[in-house]
Amino acid sequence: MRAAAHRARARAGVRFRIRAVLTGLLLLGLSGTAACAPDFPAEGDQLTVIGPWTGVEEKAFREQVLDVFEEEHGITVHYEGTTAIHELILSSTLAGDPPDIAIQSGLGELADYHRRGLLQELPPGIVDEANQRAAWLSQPSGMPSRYWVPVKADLKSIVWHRGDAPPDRADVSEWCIGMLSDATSGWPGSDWIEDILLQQAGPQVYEDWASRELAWDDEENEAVATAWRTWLDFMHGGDGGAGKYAEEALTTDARDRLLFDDKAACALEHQGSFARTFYPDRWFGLDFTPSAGLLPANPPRGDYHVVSGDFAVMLRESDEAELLLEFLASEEIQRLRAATFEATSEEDGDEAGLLPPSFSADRRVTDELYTRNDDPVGARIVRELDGADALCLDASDVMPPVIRRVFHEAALESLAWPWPPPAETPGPGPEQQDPLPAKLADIQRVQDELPGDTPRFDSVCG
Amino acid sequence: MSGPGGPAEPGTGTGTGRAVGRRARPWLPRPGTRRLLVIQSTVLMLLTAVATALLHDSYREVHSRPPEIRDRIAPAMLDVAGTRAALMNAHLGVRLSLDSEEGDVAGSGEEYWAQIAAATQNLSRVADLQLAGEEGEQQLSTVNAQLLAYIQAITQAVAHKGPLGRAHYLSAHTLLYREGSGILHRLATLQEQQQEELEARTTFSGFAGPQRDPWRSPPVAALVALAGCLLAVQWQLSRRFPQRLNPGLLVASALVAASWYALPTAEQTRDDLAGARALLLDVVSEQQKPVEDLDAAGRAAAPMSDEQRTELFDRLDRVQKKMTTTREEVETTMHDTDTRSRAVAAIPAGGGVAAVLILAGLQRHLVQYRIRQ
Repeated sequence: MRAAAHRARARAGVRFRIRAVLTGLLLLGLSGTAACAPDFPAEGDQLTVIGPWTGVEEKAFREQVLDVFEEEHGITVHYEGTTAIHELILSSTLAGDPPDIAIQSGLGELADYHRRGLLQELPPGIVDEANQRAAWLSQPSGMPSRYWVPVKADLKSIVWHRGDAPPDRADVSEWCIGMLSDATSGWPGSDWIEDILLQQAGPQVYEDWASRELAWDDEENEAVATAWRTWLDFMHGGDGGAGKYAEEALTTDARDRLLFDDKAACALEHQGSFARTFYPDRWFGLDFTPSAGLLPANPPRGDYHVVSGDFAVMLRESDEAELLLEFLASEEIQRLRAATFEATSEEDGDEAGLLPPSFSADRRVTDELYTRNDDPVGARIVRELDGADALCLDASDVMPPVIRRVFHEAALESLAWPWPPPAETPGPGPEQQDPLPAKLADIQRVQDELPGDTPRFDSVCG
Repeated sequence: MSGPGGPAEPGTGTGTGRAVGRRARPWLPRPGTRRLLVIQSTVLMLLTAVATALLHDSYREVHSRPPEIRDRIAPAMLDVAGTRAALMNAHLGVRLSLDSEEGDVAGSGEEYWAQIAAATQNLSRVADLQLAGEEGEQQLSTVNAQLLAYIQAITQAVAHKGPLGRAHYLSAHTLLYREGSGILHRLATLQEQQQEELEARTTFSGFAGPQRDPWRSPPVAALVALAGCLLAVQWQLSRRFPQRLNPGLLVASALVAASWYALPTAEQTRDDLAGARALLLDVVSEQQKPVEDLDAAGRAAAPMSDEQRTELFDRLDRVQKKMTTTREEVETTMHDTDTRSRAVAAIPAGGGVAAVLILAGLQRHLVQYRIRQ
């Protein structure tokens, strides 16, 4: 009876919410998302998990991790992967029918969910903090308890290329750059700007900016403007000139296997360590070089890396959900994921086969594991993590959701600007002016209008 | 009641010459007539019960499906197909509007909003009729979230135009068309689950299933056995008792003969269900066809030619027309089975009447025999 009632309630909920989609969008824009929340079952020995991983990453997560959990604990896990995860989490939690667990890279978004009271507190010791690299333990200031656990880590500030020959510094025509990624388009652009900023200005300035200490349009320290300008100069260069490559980047999907795309005809790709999943059938043939020596910036000031992570939160409290979180963060599973994985099914075409391993915030997942698994490139990634002078969490990931979105939007928008802007003259209209200061001031204005209790990450580098 | 000849001397094996002749035949039952009557009565009752149960089960099983198909499965399938078609239509409209540089698509673009409204209404009904269980509900939830992201991206595309507008348009395009995680692909997964449900609800096995050799199907075998026994008993009674025909058994036999009508009727309903299944699968397959071309055309940088645009709209139009006619056809065909399904109640009633008639017919002789004894 209870199950039937739940199902009936769930269906009525879905119907209501779907109907609300149109009205909400017509009348309220994004705020309509709350009205069209989906629903999730949470009965008996079943868990619902939503996360950002689709395609190969989803396949590996299901078969390498969730299947093991189901077998060990007899709990069925339904996983849904989508790039529209923010919309999905927000709408379902606001409707009071959230999934049990959500996995997301945006710590700023998770902190925002915590501010809204949507997250469940996790028991102490759910993650072995002594063995985690510091960057992945970042918390907003004033948050005494733990509300998320790192389940996956990635190294950024690296450049991928075919084979093992280290590339030379090259102009934009040699680079594979795509800005598109469904609901999160623009993030590759923000990654570029963050990396340039880190390499140009160093971890302290980067951390000040990420933690909202340094204004976007700060007049004394123009690190953000300088980094952004450096990127735009680079993107609008190349032998095609006149924004040809910038425009191409605007219409290219970041996940389109650009390094092996004959049409793209490029040799360098600025992506995180997760990029190997973009090449499910050819990732063995990829190698990387730290970006510091290749970026259009001043000579590197140190061995700094932007890093990112995927963090799991509990939205619906249950012993089963806690068990899964503990399982995901455990050393055993983190080590398991360091192995290449042979997908069993071929139903998804080229997504089957030998899938690349993933990386961990846990120091016990050592480079030896990758070497042992015949993955020297993976081992080097771990050595970069261990040997870096500073690892800084992706700044846009720790920014409040609205700032993150505006940043992504602005990165896209700036690629469409005529660049370099003509010299300012008193007479002409706005098209003749440098649009960057105004854009940075706009972002700063949005940031200044954030509510006073908006979470802030004081420390993102470690 | 008994005629001048009366029944043969029960239990003794002696009597008239007819009785003597009967004894001379080894296949005739050894026990006396009374015992024979009791056995006949028991066997006929058992056979009547079994034949009625099997026929009823098979007929009920077959006729319980059309309302399900008509009220739940077909609408859900057509609504998912409708959602896909509406979204493809809306997206094609946006693309053409952006090409033409006129496009206030997300503002006052009536056609766009009408298609989006149709898609959300269809999704709402699908949620009501959900066939694919919890997994399907999750798929729908994700589709809703992605639809929101899609509409936001389109709004941005229209607001910006130029290269930035195109970037947003392409983001929306991959949200819709991306293999594996796009809205259309998720809906296609939902359709696969629906097709499995359709297959399960329109194919039959066991007693309700069509048999290669109908004579070997359990309900047919039971009816044949019952009819055969009724004839045999009728013949035996005519040999032992003066009446040529037992009216009770005669009417019961007529009822058994009438029940044959249920067999072709059930077959007809099975055929109708198979026809409905074919129509629905045809619609699903038909609306899958233009996806690849629409995806390619939508991604292409060059504006669509008039011919290409006309062809794509024509194909979508054909799909939508096909959905409308299929909805009507399936509904009508399934409605037509309503009359036949009324026989579901008539079968146990007929079985009951037959049992009473058989009992009454044989009791008549048993009573007569008892009086004489």
